[in-house]
Amino acid sequence: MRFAFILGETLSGIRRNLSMVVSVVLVTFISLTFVGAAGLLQLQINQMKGYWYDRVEVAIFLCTGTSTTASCATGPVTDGQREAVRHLLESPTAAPYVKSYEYESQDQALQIFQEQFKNSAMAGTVTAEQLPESFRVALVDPEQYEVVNELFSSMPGVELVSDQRQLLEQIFSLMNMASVIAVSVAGVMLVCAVLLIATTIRLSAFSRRRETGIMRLVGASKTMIQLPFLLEGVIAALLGAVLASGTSWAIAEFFIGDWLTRQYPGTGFIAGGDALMLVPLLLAVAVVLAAASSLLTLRRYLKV
Amino acid sequence: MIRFEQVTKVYDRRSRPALQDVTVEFERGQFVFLVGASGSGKSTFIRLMLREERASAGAVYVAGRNVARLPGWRVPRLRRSIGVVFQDFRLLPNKTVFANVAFAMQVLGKGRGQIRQTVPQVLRTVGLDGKERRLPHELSGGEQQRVAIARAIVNRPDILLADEPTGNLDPETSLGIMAVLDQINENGTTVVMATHDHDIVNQMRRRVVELREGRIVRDEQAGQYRTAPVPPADDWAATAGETVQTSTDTGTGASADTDTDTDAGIRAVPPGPVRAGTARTGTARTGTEEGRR
Repeated sequence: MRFAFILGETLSGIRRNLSMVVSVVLVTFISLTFVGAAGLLQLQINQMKGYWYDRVEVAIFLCTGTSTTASCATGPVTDGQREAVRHLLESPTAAPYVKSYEYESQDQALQIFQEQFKNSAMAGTVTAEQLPESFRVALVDPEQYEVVNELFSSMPGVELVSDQRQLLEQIFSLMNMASVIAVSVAGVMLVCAVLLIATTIRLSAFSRRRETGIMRLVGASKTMIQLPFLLEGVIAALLGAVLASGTSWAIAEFFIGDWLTRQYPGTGFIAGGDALMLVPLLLAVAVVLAAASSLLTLRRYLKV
Repeated sequence: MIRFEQVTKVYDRRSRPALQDVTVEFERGQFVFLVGASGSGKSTFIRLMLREERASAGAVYVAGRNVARLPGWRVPRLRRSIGVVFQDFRLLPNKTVFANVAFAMQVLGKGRGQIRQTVPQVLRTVGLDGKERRLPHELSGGEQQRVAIARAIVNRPDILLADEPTGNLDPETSLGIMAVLDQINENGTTVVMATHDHDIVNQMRRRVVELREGRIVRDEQAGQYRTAPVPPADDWAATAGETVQTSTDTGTGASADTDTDTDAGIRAVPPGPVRAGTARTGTARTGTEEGRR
């Protein structure tokens, strides 16, 4: 009964103050969507780190018939040169730095290439001979790329030693930057949301001062008087958070999980399921901010 | 039931206090008129009882508790024991008569069954049978005030405070309202009514406490609304001695046993003549309390 009454009061408050409540919903929706986007970026970075760091750190590309570098002057890599590289990888000189390595033949390279670029016209024109065979080396300490570079880059038959992690680091720092920007925007928007909630509660309290005045006089408890307003703010913010959660999920599921994965099949992308981790966070942020700003406002503007 | 002990209320240090050193006591079941010009302190008096304001000095006892010292979270409980009626009714315009009265019960968490049972009873008491479904604007002023009274008493408070309840009503309607208040008083509720309505005070012949510039200048058991100009407070003070010296009044008795006695109603009515208009059972005068101590 009591709870039903409080809920009824809350709903009538929302009805009376509908435009303000809708704006609170929208502002929290947008701001929390930015929070969600930042969260998705971080999840994606973690995902890619896990995926890539285990696979490629250093790639030792071997010479092909079309190589132009000085170390490939003798033409395509010979069996002996290839074995020399493999030998050095397993030798005591290099072994302390090498966690594991994999050999990728020209045919395998072609397969991966065709997989990656299957939507593009290039896939049909490239042949296995044009692609370099390579050793993919995972390092014990990824920072010690230079040592490996020195050991292998001057070997005959080796075209190029490249630290793929550096490439990734650039991508990651870009993504980190993007998530910092998203968080900053989210911060500003959240400040807006908090102020808007405060204003909304203040208006709501003002428009129902007759009711609250009577409640006070007949001796209604503080909870009974304040809870409907508090709930009004919290419900509006929660609605915004639900919309933001839905949007974050949709971005993860359809944009990243579907579209991006199709565009870049070689990369590990997050999917909708991963975004669900963010939902409790978004809901909690909404509830805490709305409750705090409502309570502060009520303390100032609603006499009990 | 209600006792003011040397209560002073200052809103603004630069102007004169709204109440100055007021000492008075109302027993359980009494009907008291609080009279005086606008600005004499009647409303402050009522607000202090409700703990809408805190006394600047002195103690305000309501039902045995010093309201001025009451912590904030206990205030709702205090207000549940007091019903209030105002000059401007303060009904909720979008709620029916029934809903307006029921609202006072709902906000205290009363059950639906209890509300459905109590509200019609109370509406009958105030003479609003059959008007449960009307909205406030469909009622006359007198009927609206009856709704307000019903709302004030629906939770069965021990005390009913009425701040000029007939101020917006014509004399005949006012009489109807007074009959309702009288009946509520007869059922055992202490009624304190602030008013400037001469006719009503003169007809009812109940206790009259007159305030003037924040001081009590008169306290009569079956008083009248004084129509003749009262001498200024300072002059009155000079002549006050004779009226107060004779009274072995509630003032002393009250200060002796009140701290323990939460049920002030069992105390005897102050002795003293009850001849209308002449008797002064001067519990009220501030100087008296001080003089005796």
